[in-house]
Amino acid sequence: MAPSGLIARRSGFQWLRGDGDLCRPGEVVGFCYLGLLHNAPGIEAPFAEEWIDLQVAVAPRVGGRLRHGAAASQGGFLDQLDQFQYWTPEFALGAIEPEPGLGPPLPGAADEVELLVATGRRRADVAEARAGFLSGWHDRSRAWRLRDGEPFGALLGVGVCEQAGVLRGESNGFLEFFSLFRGSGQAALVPDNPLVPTSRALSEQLARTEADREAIAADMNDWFARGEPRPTPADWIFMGATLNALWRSVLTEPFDVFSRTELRRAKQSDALILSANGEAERLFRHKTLGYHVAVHAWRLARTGLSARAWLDARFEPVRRSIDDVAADYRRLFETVRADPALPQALLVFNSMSTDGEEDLQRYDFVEGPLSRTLRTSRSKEANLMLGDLAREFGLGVIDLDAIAADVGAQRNLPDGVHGSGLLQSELRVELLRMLGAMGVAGFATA
Amino acid sequence: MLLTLNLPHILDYMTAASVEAIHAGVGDELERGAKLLDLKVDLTAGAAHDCPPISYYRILLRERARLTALGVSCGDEPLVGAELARFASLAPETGEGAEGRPARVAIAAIFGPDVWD
Repeated sequence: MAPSGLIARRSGFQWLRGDGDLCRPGEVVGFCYLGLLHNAPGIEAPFAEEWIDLQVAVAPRVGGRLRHGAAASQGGFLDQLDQFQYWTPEFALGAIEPEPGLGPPLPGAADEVELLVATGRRRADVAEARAGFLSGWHDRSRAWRLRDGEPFGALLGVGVCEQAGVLRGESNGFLEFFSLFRGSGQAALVPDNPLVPTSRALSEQLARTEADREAIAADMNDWFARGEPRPTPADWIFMGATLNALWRSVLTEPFDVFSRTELRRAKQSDALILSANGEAERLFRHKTLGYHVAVHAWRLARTGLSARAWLDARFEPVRRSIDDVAADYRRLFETVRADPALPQALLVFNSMSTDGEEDLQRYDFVEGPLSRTLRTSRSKEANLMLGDLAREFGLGVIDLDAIAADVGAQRNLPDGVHGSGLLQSELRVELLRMLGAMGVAGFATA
Repeated sequence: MLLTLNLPHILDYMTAASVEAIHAGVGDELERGAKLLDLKVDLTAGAAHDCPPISYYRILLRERARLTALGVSCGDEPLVGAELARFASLAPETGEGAEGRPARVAIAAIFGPDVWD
């Protein structure tokens, strides 16, 4: 591995499958931490904000019984720190004793491993958690597979926790997602903490100037400087993470990727997937600066007194009708479509529109629009609205509502948001199918 | 006829609910569709979770009745099956069993209170 002349160092390997386990072709069996050094002066080092948690997962191209190499893992910090070994192609990581019935081998030399690279951008340098593959508190996490000469597509997920389950999977490292297709591509996830990324917030990020950012930071600094209520450590962390989220514009942020031989700098995402479940009915609008945030109610309930007081004092509640949400989506999509540097393939997970225990026969107890009171009415109207946007913008709607009903919503999506492994798997397949149908490079399924 | 309302089993894994609002008073004569109670169901069962499964429901009356007794107040956390209210049916007597029956109600999933509430 020597992308564009960079020198690769690595830690020892941490095994994800045991010695003697049967493994399929392309199944990730272990990972190591990776460091990339460059000797050329004056060249900006890649992965400026992501180098600490850069990791490489390895998978055999041939199915069989895995045998750990004696020198692959040395345990302790030597399997976490990349200062002590160089990545050399002749290093024997282990061996595979081929077994029949595990599927055809992957193209390429049988004694070479497939690589899946992953990294995350820490919310702060101190947010360290070297507990496993892609562990840590990241405001953006991603994994990619890039083979020389192959077309490459990049998907960016910006939404609520349902996306973490579909994209990062139970492995937490995008492994399930990458097991479903063979091409070169990237999946990235921007999560919903502390702020829920609504379409309105994303549009505001795109329009935000440096002066706007400075004003937001000044407002937060002003509040904390008052010292009343005295900020606790939790308040500092919440406000820091919030400022970090407001400072960035996740749709425009470039990323670096590499293959075995080539480093590609400052790439942009090709596809964007959002969550209808993240389009909160209630937002907070800053009274003087005008920007909007959404925070999960349960997170607010656990926020420190100072941060909560800041929200109470400096923000006012805003309720959004379905038409308001539609307007926010339209504004975002029009902005995105007008800039080729932004992801042009647009997708969204819709939301479950039924509640298995709801048994209404009449609606005259509801004052005003049904969607203002009844969750299921709002979800139904929202899903219809997404259908309109699909026709207007070519939006790809992942029909979580129908898929959940097919697999059994009460068992697999009991609260309408948190799905079982089965449901996540079905959504993953549908997402890849749609990416392929929309012509996003790299994601054609096997 | 005596009608009783017990806390229904709304969700799997639910053991109790929190009474968030009461929309009728003892003595009120209620029409079909009248709002009775708002409930919060928290499936975390006392253990803090990230992204806790908390949902809100409104219980509505599906028949005409007079509210004769309330077994809960706002803030109470009755267990599933606990008696919430009693009613006297306002429908013409049909000779059904004198011991009474469960009140006919409907359940609607609603939005929770505003965080400013």
